[in-house]
Amino acid sequence: MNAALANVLKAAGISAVNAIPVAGQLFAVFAPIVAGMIQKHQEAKGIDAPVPTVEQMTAQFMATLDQGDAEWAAWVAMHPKPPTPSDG
Amino acid sequence: MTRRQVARSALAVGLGGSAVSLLIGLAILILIALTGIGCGAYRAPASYPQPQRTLWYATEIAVAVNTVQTAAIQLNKISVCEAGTVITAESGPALDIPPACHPLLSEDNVRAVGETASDIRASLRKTPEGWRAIVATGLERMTARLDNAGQVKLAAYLQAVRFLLGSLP
Repeated sequence: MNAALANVLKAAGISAVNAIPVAGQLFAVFAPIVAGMIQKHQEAKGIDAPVPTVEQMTAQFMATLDQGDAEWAAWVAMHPKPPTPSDG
Repeated sequence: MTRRQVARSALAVGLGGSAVSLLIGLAILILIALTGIGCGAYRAPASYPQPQRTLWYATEIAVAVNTVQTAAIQLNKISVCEAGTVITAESGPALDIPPACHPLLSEDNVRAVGETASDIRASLRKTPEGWRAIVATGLERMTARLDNAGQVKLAAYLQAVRFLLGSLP
């Protein structure tokens, strides 16, 4: 089995010496992906995630609304509405 | 939907040098968001009891409404210039006409989006549990207030919110 694997690696131009960095590169590529999948799975299942209180979630919700209102207020302040004819 | 993809699209948005890079970046962000929704990423954690679930969904949809507003404001900041025209008088020097520039999304359209989004947020603030009806009605009103150009330029953003609205349980 080991000999067969060695032949495959040899055919692919991967020697025992450079197999380590190749494995390292593969790990570097796939580890964050796998970690992300596990994290997403845990979040979906609520594993290790304490349930926030209603007050905490209400505060987060209100902060989101406040953020949108603040962005809109800033735009309106920089773009005042042109006066309509009835305004004189 | 990897962090690298998000970073790339954010980079494209951040470049901001041209309207094309901004639009491509925003389109990629929408694509990523839709992919996430399609994969079922937008589900409240199963451990959340009902009040928290309602607030979780209301927050998600509020973020989506804010995103449409942000997109409208950013598109308004992009200036599009027509190519300069050169007119030659029969008995005179060539006259250079400066290029006519206008925002990619008009102020009227931004105002339509922002005012409607503001109304949606005011309603959500009063009754978060009614998020689905509030946002559905608000989106229709927002679309109706946009002119044809606005509807075309914001179509992807509005569609993304509708898609999110339909995918949330």
